[in-house]
Amino acid sequence: MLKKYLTYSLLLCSMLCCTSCFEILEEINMHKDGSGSMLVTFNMSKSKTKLASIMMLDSINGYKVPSEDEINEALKDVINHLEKTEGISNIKKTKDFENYIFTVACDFKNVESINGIFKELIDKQNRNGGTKFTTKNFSFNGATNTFNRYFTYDDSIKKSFYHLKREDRKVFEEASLTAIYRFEDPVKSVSNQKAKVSPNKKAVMLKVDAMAFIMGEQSLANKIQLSK
Amino acid sequence: MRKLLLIASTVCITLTATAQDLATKIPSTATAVVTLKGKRITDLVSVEEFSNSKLGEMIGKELAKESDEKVNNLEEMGLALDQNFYYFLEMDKGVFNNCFLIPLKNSQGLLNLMGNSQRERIITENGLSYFQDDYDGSVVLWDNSTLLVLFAKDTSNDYDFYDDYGYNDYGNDNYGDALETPTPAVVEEEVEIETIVEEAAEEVAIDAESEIVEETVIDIEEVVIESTEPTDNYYNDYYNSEEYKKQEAAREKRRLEREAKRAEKRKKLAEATLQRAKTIIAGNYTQGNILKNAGYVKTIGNGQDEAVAWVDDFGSIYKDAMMGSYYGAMNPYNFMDMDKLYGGFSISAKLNFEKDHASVKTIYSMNDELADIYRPMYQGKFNSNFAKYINEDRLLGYWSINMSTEGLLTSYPQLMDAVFKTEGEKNYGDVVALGTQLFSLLLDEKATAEIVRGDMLLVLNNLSEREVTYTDYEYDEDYNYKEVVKTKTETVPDFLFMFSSEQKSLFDRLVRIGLREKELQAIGGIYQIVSLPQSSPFDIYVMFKDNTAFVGSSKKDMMAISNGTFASKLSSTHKRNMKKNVTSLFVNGKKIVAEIPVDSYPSELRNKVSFLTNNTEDVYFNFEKIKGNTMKGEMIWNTPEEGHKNSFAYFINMINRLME
Repeated sequence: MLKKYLTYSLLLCSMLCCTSCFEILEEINMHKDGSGSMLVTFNMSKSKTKLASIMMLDSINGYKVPSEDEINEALKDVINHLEKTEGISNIKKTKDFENYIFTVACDFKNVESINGIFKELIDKQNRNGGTKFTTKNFSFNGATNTFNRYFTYDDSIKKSFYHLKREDRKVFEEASLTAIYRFEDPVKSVSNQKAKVSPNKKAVMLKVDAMAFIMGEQSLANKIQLSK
Repeated sequence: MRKLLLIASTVCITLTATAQDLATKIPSTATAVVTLKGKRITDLVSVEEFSNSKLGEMIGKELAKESDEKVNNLEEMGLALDQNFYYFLEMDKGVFNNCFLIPLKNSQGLLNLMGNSQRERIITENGLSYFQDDYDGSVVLWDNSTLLVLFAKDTSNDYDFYDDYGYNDYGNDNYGDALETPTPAVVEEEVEIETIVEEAAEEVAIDAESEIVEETVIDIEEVVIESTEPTDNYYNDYYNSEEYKKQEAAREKRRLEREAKRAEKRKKLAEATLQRAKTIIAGNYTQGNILKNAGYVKTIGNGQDEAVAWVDDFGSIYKDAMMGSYYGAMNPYNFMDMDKLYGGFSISAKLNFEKDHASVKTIYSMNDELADIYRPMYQGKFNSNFAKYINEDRLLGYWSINMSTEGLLTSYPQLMDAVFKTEGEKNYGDVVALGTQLFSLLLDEKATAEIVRGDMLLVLNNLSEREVTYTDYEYDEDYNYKEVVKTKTETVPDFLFMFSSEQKSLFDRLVRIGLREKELQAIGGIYQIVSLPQSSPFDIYVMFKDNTAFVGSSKKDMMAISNGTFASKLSSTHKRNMKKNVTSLFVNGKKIVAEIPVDSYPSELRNKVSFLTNNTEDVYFNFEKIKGNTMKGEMIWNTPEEGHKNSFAYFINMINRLME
């Protein structure tokens, strides 16, 4: 009783005042031959005080709060899935429950291998949810030296967002998605106006606010033309 | 003479008013009654005022949509909003009747709300109009002054559900008789399959090469598929057999019989419901109406509340509901004497909207035996020292608990002993009694109570800013990034938690271990827990003083308590609430709303913070100790007088403003 009495009281205190947000970072280093490495980072450290409080509960706002063990299991599933995906190797993961930062990194033979990672998942979503998300997220054409990041907006994103409780939507207010792509050849042009090309022309960065992404106002889609 | 006339007319008016009140239509045997006093509510906020509020306008729009704009506001619904509305529950041999009684000015508004198809179903007889749902038999019945809605549920034989839907039917047939010849062959086939699978599995075990494993597994699958073919034929033969067809015909016959039985039950319930609805609206009961029920009349009292809920003898409701809902061993009535828990247990709740506060007062009455068991649990002695460590000027809220650990540990086994039966076919009474005796023997209640006496207090003080670190990324011009640790300020309240304990030596021992294991750090008489995760929203300090253990997040406050320099200030109201109640909760609404940083509010509320600050007051919740065999609870929501003519108007105004 004493523990519950304290847990709920302290949780109430921290929930009252702490803010919550997260950042997703997608980083790809491309080689000339189309192979490369990828790193995905899920950084929730700005919300760590709130998350530490939430982790004390079994569920919040009707959602089950995963335990550390369950998060570890989920990460293990991700790694297992990557291991089974053709063309993916050198898989590494990091987890930091102090700061709530999780990363997964891997090498790929070609960008088709990255498409393979999500294909099954996206197919399933399209089948069950009636959505039209493209299963091809990346392409690299060595002949034209063009790198493409595909993304087709679907209204279901907005609908899912509005299905959330008003309080839960707050999580996305200060969240962001950042994509960084690095190349060996210099970048000639980018199609996404929000994307920035580095002074040495070898890297492109695109930062999108989660809310703008959800509302379909900003996209991760980008066509990057490299010099031959 | 004039005086006589005045008295006579007053009596007549009172009688008419009483006769019109729909309470006269509630039988005296009703188990639960909820009363909503329209007159009192419309005196607080008139129908016109409500209709002009944002909520009223929203309801108006919905009504207009539903009625093709024939009804555009509450007034046009034809309800007599200045009279009492009722809900009551009555039970008869497992049938639960849920009935709503709504006063009408006229029935036209009601008709306007109905669609054509609904109107066509209306039956009119003897000045009553009604329609009845074909499936569940619920009745909507009205005359010129009363609308009655009655839902009935027969729970007396819920366990017949399995029989009703034939879940047990398939167990009645003897499948073995259907087809005897193929059985030995199937057994042989199965043996063969098993042997092949075992052999293949042995091969797999011998060869560890993964490719070979794959091939072998495929082989096994193939063998299994081939070998199942004769089994399929067996099933086809079975389903085509004369015996099976005979059984199927018998099952179909039984299904039709069950369906007819169900339809008959539904019909009888529907007829009884309609008959009951007519009896209720007539209100002629041989045993009199609810105003003859002493328990209800006592609860209603002088009638100064806006709404009253009353539940009589919770035990009988529970018993009626449980007897029908659970079948066999699952029914707790088989091994527990639920009457001991709920017998004679009644609840009443009253809602009041006063000028400067709204309140909900509840009274729980229990049987004497249960009261005797519960009483020691709530005989806590509140540590008056706790009040020395509160400063009201900084107080955001508190939560006190005043129970007796010793009483809890001695009463709980008694409660278990009383509840579990020692008689009847299913009884766990002796086993439970053995367990509770062992529990009492092994546990020294007095010694345990010395560690945690049972009185405790959590205090939330001023919000304070705390710097927390987080990881961000810094990018160079080529978008190579490195992780950087940044800081931001978060606002969290300081808390102080206190509980009485006579075991200082135990605390000292824990502190010595903590210091040795470097889990604690000594800071001038207090100890900081140093092993907290970085993400903890608080620093936490502990100490022990004057038979009180302290856990707090403010180093300054903890040091002041340790040095005896804490500046305390607490009103006698708060002291009394903590001391006389089993639990007491206080929320300093105005201070909390004012101190939470604007950024922490949902974006849609940020421009309303000043309105919220000016319009939020304190909230209290108190739950008293057992007196006799009753316990009383009370929630008080204080409301500002300025800008609101009463507390009900306050809530309407708040909704108005928040909907903007």
